[in-house]
Amino acid sequence: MPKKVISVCEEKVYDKLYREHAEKICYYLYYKYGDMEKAQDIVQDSFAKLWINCSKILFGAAKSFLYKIANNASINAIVHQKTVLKYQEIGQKTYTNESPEFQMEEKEFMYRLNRAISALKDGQREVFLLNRMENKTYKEIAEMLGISVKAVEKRMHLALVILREKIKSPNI
Amino acid sequence: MKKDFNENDFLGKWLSGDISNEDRKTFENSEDYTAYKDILRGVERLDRPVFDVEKGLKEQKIYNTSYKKAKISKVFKIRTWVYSAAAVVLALIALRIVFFQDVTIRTKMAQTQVITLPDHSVVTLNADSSLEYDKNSFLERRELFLKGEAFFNVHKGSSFTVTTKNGEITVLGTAFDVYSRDRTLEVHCFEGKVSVKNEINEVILTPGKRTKSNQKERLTIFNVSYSKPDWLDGKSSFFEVPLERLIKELERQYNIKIHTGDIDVKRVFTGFFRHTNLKVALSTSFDPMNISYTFEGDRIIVLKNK
Repeated sequence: MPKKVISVCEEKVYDKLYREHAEKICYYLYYKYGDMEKAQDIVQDSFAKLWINCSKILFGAAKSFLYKIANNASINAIVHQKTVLKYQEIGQKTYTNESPEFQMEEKEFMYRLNRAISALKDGQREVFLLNRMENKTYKEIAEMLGISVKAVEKRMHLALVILREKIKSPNI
Repeated sequence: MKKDFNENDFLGKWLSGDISNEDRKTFENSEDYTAYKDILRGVERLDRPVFDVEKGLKEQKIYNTSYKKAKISKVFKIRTWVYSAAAVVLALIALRIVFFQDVTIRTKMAQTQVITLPDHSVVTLNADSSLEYDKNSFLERRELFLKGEAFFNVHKGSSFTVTTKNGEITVLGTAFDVYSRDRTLEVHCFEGKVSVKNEINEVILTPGKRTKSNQKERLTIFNVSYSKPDWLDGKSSFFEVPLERLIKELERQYNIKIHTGDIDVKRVFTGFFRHTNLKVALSTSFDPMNISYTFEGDRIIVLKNK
């Protein structure tokens, strides 16, 4: 029975793969390393490698190929540059029925939270932010990173505990 | 079952709702809960940078077209980094060799090699030959020692001397071929002026002349009609030479062994063979001499009178 083979070399297929995965991989890398530019570079490299090797890669394997390349690339990239992470803050709330002191405290809190997230280990940060920012389930994260759900639970736990400690005393 | 808040995955399970109602209620009344809730609320207020998929795709297409080139240069960069230490070590070793030893270039059977000397003179070394010179002093004193055969294209400058065991050739920028094997010395001059000296006499060759001596006899001058040696074009030519010289040249060019048996190797041969096809070469060499040849294995050939 002849089965229709979907070729990654076909532009339509390639575009579809890009639309489906590029953003996700990019955020995944961003959460891991906190550097959007670097994340975008790695995404570009990964998809370029997919394009060059398109004839050798089955459509079904493209996703894992992309993640693998992205993971490998980022390991190299991180050696070059341990970035100071910066997570953008949502613009100031428009309503201001809060006292200036409260606003100050809020600002201070967000600043500490940012620093604390930056200080997490890569593995903890990626799990924590994928779950909290992308609403990914533990199962999805576990599959993505190739670890067990149990490990995801532990990382989530540890991430929260560490965040709390760091916010309490940000100089640790 | 009651869950311990301090267990290393408790908060993870709490976030995904994977704990009993009872446990959750207990936890939500604790002080820890408020602290964690604050953190989670704070995280909710964080925003991520925008990733423009369509723009990214467009840029991706452009990037893909230039990717191969970039990749090569990247690999090169990494290599230079990785091997730089090794390169330094190698360079040091090389320097030692350069400073303390002569340079020797040897060709094997069936191999020719083009060498550029420090003064930009070019030497083409024929098969089974060797060339030796002192790299340090070469630029001041252009002297080299040759065994076998080589074609020289000498860059103009001070005198350039090729020493062989059968004689000495001195020039000032020219093109010439030296053959020095066994007791035979042959020098062909193609350009400029060449002085050839052995123990008995000295001759000056002008373009189109060649000189030859056997067994330390006088150097005599002949005319040549070709503009560069045949072997540079993958051909060996002979004019009235003993058969043994042809046989040795065949062995050198094809890396074979020829057993002559009862053949008279002093017979005189004139002709040529090409370096591309052994069977054709054997046929053009031995058929006219009425000699038959048979292969014993790949590399051994036995000759017989027909």
